[in-house]
Amino acid sequence: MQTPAPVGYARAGSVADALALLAQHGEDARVIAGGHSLIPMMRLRLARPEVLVDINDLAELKGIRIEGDEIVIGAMVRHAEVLASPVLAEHYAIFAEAERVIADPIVRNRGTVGGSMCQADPSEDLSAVGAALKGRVEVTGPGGTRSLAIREFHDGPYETKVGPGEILTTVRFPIRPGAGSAYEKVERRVGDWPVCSAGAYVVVRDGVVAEAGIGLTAVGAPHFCAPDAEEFLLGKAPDADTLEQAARLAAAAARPSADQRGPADYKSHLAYELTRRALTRAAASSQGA
Amino acid sequence: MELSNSFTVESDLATAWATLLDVERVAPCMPGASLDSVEGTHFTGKVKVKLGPVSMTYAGEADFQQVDEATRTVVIEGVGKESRGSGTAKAHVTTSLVAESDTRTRVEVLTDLTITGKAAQFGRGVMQDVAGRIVDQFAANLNALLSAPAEPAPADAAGADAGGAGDAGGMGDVANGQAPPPAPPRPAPVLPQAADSIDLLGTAGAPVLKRVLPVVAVVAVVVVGVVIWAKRRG
Amino acid sequence: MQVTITVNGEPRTADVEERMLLVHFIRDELKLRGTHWGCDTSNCGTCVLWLDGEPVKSCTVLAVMADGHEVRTVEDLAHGAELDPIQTGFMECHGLQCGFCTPGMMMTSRWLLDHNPHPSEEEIRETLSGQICRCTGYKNIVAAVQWAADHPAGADAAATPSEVTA
Repeated sequence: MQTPAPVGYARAGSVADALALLAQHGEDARVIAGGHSLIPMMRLRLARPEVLVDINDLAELKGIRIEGDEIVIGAMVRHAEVLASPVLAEHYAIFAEAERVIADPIVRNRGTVGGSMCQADPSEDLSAVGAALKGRVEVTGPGGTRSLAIREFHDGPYETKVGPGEILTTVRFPIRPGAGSAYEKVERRVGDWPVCSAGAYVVVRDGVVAEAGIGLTAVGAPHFCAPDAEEFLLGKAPDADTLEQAARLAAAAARPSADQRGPADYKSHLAYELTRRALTRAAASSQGA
Repeated sequence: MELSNSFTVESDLATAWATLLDVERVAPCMPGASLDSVEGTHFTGKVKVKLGPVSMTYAGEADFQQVDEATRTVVIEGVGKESRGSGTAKAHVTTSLVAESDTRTRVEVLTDLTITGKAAQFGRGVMQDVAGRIVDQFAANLNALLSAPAEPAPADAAGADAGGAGDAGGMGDVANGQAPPPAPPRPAPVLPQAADSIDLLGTAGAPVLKRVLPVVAVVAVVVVGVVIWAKRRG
Repeated sequence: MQVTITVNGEPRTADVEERMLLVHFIRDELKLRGTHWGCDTSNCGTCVLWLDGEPVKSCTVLAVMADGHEVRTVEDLAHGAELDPIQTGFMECHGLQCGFCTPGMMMTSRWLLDHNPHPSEEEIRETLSGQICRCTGYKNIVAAVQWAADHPAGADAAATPSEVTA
């Protein structure tokens, strides 16, 4: 039964305060939000930060709101809030569908959107959602705030473009009238990382696909997306055959590794099948079905 | 697990071969590596691997097991133990050179890596990815070193963070064989680099310094790194 | 560092290491052993208590993070000698065997009924899906929650075994 190694603790009162604390403690400090990625790692002593900068009080990072034609989600928004949000449900079903299968109801009370994005697990469901919806993140540091596409946010497993001394502050998504979206996940049990997850949004206009976004996680798809499959769909009617072909292209973007969650060919199959299902439901939803 | 990298350098075979055997020049190409001692074909040191919130230091030793001038092949075997923990890392690295022309040499690096302990918890997929990125970075740094031995290496050619976000523009750049772009102005990734240079200065003395300087000291960010290092010590 | 956490309505102050988990603060500092400590992986949920009115896994919160906040533990379910309907439900429906997961199960169930007084079986199972029981197979736990939903005033003198759907 393990416990964390000795660590320092500082509670930030604002974003500026948090940045100052990070600057003060340098490389040895680690931001803690929900703590449900970091504390388990600290208990196993896989992670041994010298100082924790607690950002749970940062009001600036809370809340889900609409700003013009964008949905804005603060980094400190808890998974439970995303799941329950009527604002998000109104625009994209994919949020609630994904959150229902992220972790478990108790963990979702603490885990945050920003924390999950920054932990950047290669099986992170929110990464697939963010990539599917072609969202953006804002990162704030001593040099100011910059905006990045989620599809450019990840450098590799557990590595993002958030530099030392910086924090992720918001996640943004364009509002797309007429869009339908869906999420599909296969997991061995509740709370597990996916064997494979696929998320999609589709905008069908005049009977053909005007826009599409496909996100994949846990199967090594570069930047959690399948751009070839998306490209293929444009201008085509979303019939079963077309969606199957798109799903096959999506599976081709996946590079799964065999592990305790399954062999590579099974994961590739899931990448195909779950994409096909997500696209089918998203297209149907866009067409008002 | 097995990893293979292949790249070409703008260097003739003989020069490339000579550089490859120079531990003090090749070791800094390893991200997060610092040399403690060099005795003939045996050397000791540390490798620090940083992955998100996880930071692990392996301390160990390595040997030039085989140096075959005829086939231009070097085999290095290295073994390390986690400084804080019970995990181990063992690497069997075979590097071969093939002349493509009078001025171009092909370098093939085959790495057989075995990891035990906490790092193995991440699962084969992630470990392969991370190991791949470290070896990619090593290969890119080696490439830069071999292609321009008299010139300063690009800013983060000896970048220490295997996973330093943005240090080398990510896997994509390295995989495309492009030289890593200059490091963005972030002090933290430079710190291990500063530690590298300090270790080398501290333990191996002047001869090492002379050979290491072209690679390391001319790098602009090292100046920053040393300043930061000095501040940390003070 | 010094922390003050309001536990079951009472401010409690102690000097703790920053690395101390909330579950250990509750158990070892405050000697409230109703909350249990079960796994190393934030999976089992036997440590569930309320933090600011919401069920959380207290093994995955540091005590210092709870400084200035409110905690409710299983000890607070009963009002003196009067059991909470959840507790009576677990008794009536044999919702526990070894009892190790029970405090966490009850705290989450209490939260559920406070927010959704008549949950469906599916809703009960989903809400408890982050918590593990090795003894009961969950069936009787669900029955216990249903019983508590059906008997919001607690143990009913008129309740007979036939009313218990176990």
